[in-house]
Amino acid sequence: MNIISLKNIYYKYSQSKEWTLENISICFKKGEITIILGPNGSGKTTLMKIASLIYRPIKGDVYVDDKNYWSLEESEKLLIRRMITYVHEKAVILKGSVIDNIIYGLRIRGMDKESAIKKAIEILKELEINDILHKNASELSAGQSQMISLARALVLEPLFLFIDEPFSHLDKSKKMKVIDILKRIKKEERGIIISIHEESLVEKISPDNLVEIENGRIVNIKTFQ
Amino acid sequence: MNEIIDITLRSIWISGCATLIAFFIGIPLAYILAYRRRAELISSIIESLVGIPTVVLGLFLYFLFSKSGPLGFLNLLYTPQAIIIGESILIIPLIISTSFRILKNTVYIYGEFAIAIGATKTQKMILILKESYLGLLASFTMAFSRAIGELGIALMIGGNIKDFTRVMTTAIALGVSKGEFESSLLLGCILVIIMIVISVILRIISRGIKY
Repeated sequence: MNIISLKNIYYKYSQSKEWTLENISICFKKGEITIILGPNGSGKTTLMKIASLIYRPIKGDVYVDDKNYWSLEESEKLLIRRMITYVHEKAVILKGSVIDNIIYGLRIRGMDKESAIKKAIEILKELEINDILHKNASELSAGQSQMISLARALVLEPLFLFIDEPFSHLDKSKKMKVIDILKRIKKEERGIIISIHEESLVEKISPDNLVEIENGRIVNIKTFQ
Repeated sequence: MNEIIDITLRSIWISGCATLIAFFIGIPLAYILAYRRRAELISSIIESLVGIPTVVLGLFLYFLFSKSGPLGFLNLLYTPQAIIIGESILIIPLIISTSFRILKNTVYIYGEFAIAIGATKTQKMILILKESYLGLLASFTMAFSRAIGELGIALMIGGNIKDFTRVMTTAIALGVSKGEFESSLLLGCILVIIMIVISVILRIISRGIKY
């Protein structure tokens, strides 16, 4: 799995009369960091959810390499989906401890509890949040929840990692920590797609591609060396 | 005193069975409904059935189970099984409507999360039910309270037969009509205590559940 391509995508929500996304065509490649930049309500999250195979577009096709994803068998779809992870802007926290939250994705993939916990601890150490390991997840702050949500995705080592507004609740040091980790992941030939609305963060992340979106349309794509 | 204990245990058994049956029918239906985009109309119809008078349902079931009725051949009239069926029918709309609200919210948040993290359909369903268990337990408690406290069905299709279909509510009604207020008051108190105890036990269990 090397590339996710969106071709002439149109999407609108059931209660909406206007298109949320209109005629979007874009590719996301392995080993690259892509930033989707746009103001609130521009369609960033919807685009991310379509590219991460959560939403099915109303018109247009989503290709994973040369396979049209939405015409695949359910079992094949699951295999592909397990190589992709999407991190929600508002952290989704499960009942239980921090560790229970982080190992969830590994456990549903059939990993034994001991190995899963070992992997989770490594990630928490890398993110420098291992002090909250045994805390009840419901007691976490918004920033901690966001870090846990990110840790839960990172521990799965996905080929494509989609992160929606990852810095919205993080302080400066945590932001830099996350950026360092994303750069490390990129070196492992994995694709990272991040949506942000703050232009000031683009330089710090130093992406390979910058996609600017406004009113559901791509207005500019820049590729950096 | 023995008769009061006997009636109390019978009431708990009948209403417990009815609640369990209704729960295992109602929860899957609420889950399916929570996934439907335009479920509001169906949900409103089900909600309107929550308040159905028990005597009306009892009368309907009486005609259904009576000898000349379409289900008369089952010989269920004036049996505990008839009360169980009747109470189940009574509380299924209550379980669906309360669980639907809880599940709809959970499906919205955790359904999408489950897809994003690569869960199978079964894993997604388990996750949603786990995340909703507190609300579902509350729904169970409400349904049990409604079942154990209803009178119309137990009286009309149970027949209030001594040592067979007499439950707390029918015994209270009979006691009052005969002027035996002391035993009726005692049964009334037991009924209220049962509802409080069940609610407390479920709350304790829910706190003890770990993943």
